[in-house]
Amino acid sequence: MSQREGSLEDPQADSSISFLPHLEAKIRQTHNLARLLTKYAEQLLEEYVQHQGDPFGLPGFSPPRLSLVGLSSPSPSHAGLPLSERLRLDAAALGALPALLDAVRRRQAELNPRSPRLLRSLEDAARQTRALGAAVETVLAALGAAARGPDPEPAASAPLSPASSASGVFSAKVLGLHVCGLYGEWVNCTEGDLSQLVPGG
Amino acid sequence: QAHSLKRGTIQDLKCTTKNMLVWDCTWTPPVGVSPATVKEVCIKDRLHSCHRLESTNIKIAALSPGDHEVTINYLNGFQSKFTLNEKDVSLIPDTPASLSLSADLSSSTLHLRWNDKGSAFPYPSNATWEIKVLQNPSMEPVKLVSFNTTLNGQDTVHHWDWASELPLQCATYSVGIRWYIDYHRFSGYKVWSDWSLLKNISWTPNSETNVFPQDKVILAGSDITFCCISQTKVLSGQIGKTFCPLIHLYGENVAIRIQNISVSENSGTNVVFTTEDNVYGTVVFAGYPPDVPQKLNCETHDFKEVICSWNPGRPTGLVGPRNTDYTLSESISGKSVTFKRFETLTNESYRLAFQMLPGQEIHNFTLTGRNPLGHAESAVFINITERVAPHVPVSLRVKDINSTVVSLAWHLPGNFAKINLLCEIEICKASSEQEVRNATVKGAQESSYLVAVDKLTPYTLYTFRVRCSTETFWKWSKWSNEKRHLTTEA
Repeated sequence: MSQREGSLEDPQADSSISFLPHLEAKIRQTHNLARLLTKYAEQLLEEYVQHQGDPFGLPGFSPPRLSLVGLSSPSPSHAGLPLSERLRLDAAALGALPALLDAVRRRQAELNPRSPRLLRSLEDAARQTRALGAAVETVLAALGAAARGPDPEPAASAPLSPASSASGVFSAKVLGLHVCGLYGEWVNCTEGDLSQLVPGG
Repeated sequence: QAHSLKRGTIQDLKCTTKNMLVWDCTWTPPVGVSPATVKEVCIKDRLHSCHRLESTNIKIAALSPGDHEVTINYLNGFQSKFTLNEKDVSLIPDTPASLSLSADLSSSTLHLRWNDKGSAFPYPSNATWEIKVLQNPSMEPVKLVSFNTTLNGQDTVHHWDWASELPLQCATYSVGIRWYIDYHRFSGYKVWSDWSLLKNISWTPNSETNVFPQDKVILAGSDITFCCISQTKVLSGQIGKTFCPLIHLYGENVAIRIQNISVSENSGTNVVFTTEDNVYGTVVFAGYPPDVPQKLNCETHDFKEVICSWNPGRPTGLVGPRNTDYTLSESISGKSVTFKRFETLTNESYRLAFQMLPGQEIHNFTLTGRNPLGHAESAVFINITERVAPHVPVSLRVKDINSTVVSLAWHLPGNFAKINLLCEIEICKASSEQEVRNATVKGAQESSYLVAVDKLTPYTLYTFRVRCSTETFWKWSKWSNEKRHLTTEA
């Protein structure tokens, strides 16, 4: 079995792939971080919902469909893409999320100023997402995949605004819910994509 | 109207006036006589004037009270005679003028302004106005109000405001106004003017915002109506988890009516409408106006700043940008400071520091709390020299003078140059004997103070501490740290 820098052409086709020790450690570390954030994201979503008041969180309530400028959910075809492309999409989304999470925190600081734990969770989420995004970028760079193909430009400084222009408090609540959902989806997606790189993963 | 005296046929002479100064009279010519064949009209008044004429309408200056004979001569020699009296004249003012209608969408209030053109009328006259508000498309009057004003010989602009229960965005509204005048010296008929042309409310709907009102702040316990403007059928409307009966407006637009709304959570109470293809919502913040600030206390520690603290009283239920702002103003210096908090803190931490003007002793403070639902204030009038709560004495030092006398020195931050300080010195012997002595010292600026303590026992371990207040006592400072000292041998 040959030790090489490793490549992301199609790891499934070559299950015996192995990476240099430091790269493998980086991948494992990044994967662990993604797994951890997946759990945190679930907790954040739950906590967020609790602070928006009924009917948020009630079984019958399905929040309005809002599309967000700058970020959308992982596409159904994501799993079918080459791994390098998937990781680059993950990195782009992780690059866009911190600004959105910050915007949600600022709005929640007005609505729920007496809920420091929620505000801290949103702050942590933004910071941790930034860290995970950087780690994925590092992995991609190490695997030489980062340079290939145009990066889907993350709308890093995308203001928190729905595609529509409704800007009331209710829309802000729904938008925050949407961002927390996207946060969970993309860290979960990243964790899944990274798991393919973890030897024996 | 007046009736012809001659030729048996009733020819009505109708006179109206807009301003009691000019009468506008018309009559029906006798059968078979063309209106164009009128030659002249003669009125038996003081002047017995005749007016050449070619129509059956004439504008004449208002006649004096009483009967006046009016003779109409036709070219063909025909003649009609009438008796005209002010009692027969109808006073019909023009429709109200220079109307302006505006809408404050945030408070769902219509503002109507108009000018009564009072300068055109004898005065004082009583004007009775009637205003109608129509809610389109049903054009049903949702409001009809009548009220009086007095014409005082000047043009006066009048205002009328109407707060709609239904948010103005939920329907289109039109407003009309009419009036009549009652002048005590006019004996004729008082008749409504025509309705003014309907004035419509115009606002440009934001296509994405469907529920109104948006983000309203209202008094807890009040009633409120929310509406949903929708192209598709609205299936339900709810506030929080409670579903409400839908009130049909027009098309697919509906409303729900909430009575006695309860205080909102911090992030507000959600109002949600579910339609066949989407969900729309708004948030309402139900709370209270600020309570009168309680236990307002203003004092100084150092004659540099006055610290005012207070208890906000009943929670308002409103936080963040809707939280209560407090402004402390002092009327003698004209200065004020503001206390803004996005976060509502526990009661005891409401305080403001007010920079003192050198030499100003009397202070007249007013603390005003303000939030979107109102304001409340407390006031306190003080002589600051009677409200001194010195800082804790620091740097306590003990020096032997002899075996039974020591000097105690301490520092007291602040500018007490204008007053005397009253301090207490606590003297404890190891054998737990305790004694407190008073000492009055001349105040100074940012100074240390020195006091001799005598009648001590030689070669004995003492613990000293000191606290201060002012001669016009208000509060003690905290005790200083303790200082242990062994007196010298005799």
